[in-house]
Amino acid sequence: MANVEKSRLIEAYHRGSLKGADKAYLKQLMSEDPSFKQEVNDYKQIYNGLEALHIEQFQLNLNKMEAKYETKDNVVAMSGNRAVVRPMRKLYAVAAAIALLVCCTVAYNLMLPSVFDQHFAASQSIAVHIESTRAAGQTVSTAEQIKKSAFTAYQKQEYTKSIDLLKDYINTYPEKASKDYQSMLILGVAQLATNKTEKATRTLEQIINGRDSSYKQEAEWMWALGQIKLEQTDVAKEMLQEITLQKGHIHQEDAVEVLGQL
Amino acid sequence: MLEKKDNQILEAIKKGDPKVLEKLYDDNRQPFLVWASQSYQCESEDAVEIYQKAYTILYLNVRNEKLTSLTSTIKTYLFSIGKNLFREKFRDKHNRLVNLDDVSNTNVIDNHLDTNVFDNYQEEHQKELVRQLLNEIGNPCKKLLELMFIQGYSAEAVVHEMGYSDERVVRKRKSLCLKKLREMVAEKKDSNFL
Repeated sequence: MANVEKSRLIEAYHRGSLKGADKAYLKQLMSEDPSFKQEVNDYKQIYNGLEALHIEQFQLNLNKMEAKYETKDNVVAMSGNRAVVRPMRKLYAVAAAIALLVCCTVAYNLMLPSVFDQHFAASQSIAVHIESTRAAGQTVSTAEQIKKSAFTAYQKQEYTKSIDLLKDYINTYPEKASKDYQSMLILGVAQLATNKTEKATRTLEQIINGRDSSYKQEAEWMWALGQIKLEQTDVAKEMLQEITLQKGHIHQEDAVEVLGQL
Repeated sequence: MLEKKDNQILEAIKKGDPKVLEKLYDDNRQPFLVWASQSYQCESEDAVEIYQKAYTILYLNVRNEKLTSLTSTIKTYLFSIGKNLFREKFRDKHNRLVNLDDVSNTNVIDNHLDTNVFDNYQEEHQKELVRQLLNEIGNPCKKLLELMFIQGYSAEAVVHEMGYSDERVVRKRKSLCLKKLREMVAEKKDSNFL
C-alpha cells in the first residue's frame, strides 16, 4: 500500500471518519499483521498528541480573545517609556459603568434569551414513533395516513403543515382523536413552536386532564413553558412545583432549574 | 434564514476561520456571562471559565463532526452546553461534599479519581511526547505539522504559507513527516521517556 494512502486511512481511522469497506479493510490488515497494528497504535499516540497540542493552542487563542476585556486601569503609556497615572480616569470609568448598568437594565431583557427560549426545543422534545400499522394483507387507514403525514411534517419541523394535518385528523375522526394523546402532544408542541401559545396550552390541557398516559409528563412540562411565554408566571410556578414533587418525572431537574430562573 | 446563516458559521468554524471564531466568541460572551450570573449566581471569573469551556466544546464538536447542522441557533447550542457544564460543576461540588463526609464511599472516590488522573496523565504524556518530537524533527516538517495540525491550516493555506507548488505536494510531505515521527516513536519505545 502506498505510504500516502496508508497515512490517509490511518488518519481517517483516528478521526473516526473511516467508514464502510475502508474501515473493514484497515481492521482486517490490523488483525492479520501485528506490526501494522503496532504502527496504527503508534500513529494513534502521535494524533492524540497533535490533537492535544491543537486544543492547547485553541485555548491560548481564547485567552488572547478574552484579554481584550481586561482593562488597564489608570495607567496610560506615554512616549519615552514613562507611564502617567491619571486618578480621575478611574472615577470616570466608575461613573460610566453605573450609567451603562442603568441603560443595560432596560436592554437586558431584550438581549437575554427568555426562559422559554432557553428550554423549549420542539423537535427534540418528543420521540415520534411512526409505526406501520399494516398487518399482512391490510392497507393503512385514511386516519393513520393523515397522522403519519402530520408526524413526518413535525419531524421535518414543518410545524404549520403538521398543525393543519392534525386539525384535519381531529375534525374528521373526533372519537379516535379524543383518545390519541400522542397526536395531541404533537399538535400542542407544534402550536408552541409557531407561537400559537394559547391554543397550545388548551391542547396540552386535554392531555393533562385526560387519563394517565405516557405523554402526560411531557404535556405538563410544555404547558408550564407555555404559561411562562404567556407571562402567567404564578400559574407556571405551580405546575413546575408539582413536577418537582413527582418522583421520576422526566422533567424534574428542568423544572428545578426553571423555578430558579423565575 | 437564521439557521442557514448559523450553518454557514459552522462551516467556517470547521475550517478554523480565526475571524469567525473571534466574532462568535465576542458576540456570545456578554449574553452568556449575564445569563450565568443571573441563573447560577456565580463570580464573573467562574462564568468566563465555563464560557470558554463551552466554547471549546462547541468548537471540538464541530471539528469532530459531532455537530454538522443546527436545528436551533449556535447561541442556544452554546448555552445548552453551558447549562450542562454548570450542572456538572454543581454535581461535582455536591458529590465532593457528600463523599468527604461519607467514609464508606472512599473506594468509589478513589477509583473515580484514579481513572481521571490516569486519563489526564496519558493525554499530557502524549502531548509532551509530540511536542518533544516536533522539536527534534526540526523544519520543514515541524512547521508543516504545526500549521496543519496545531494551527489548523488547510492544505491550500499551507501551499501559500510554505511555498509548495500544490496541495498534492503538501499532502505527500505531510505523510512523509508523519512517517518520520512514527519512526522516532518506535525508536523511543525502549527509552524511559515512554
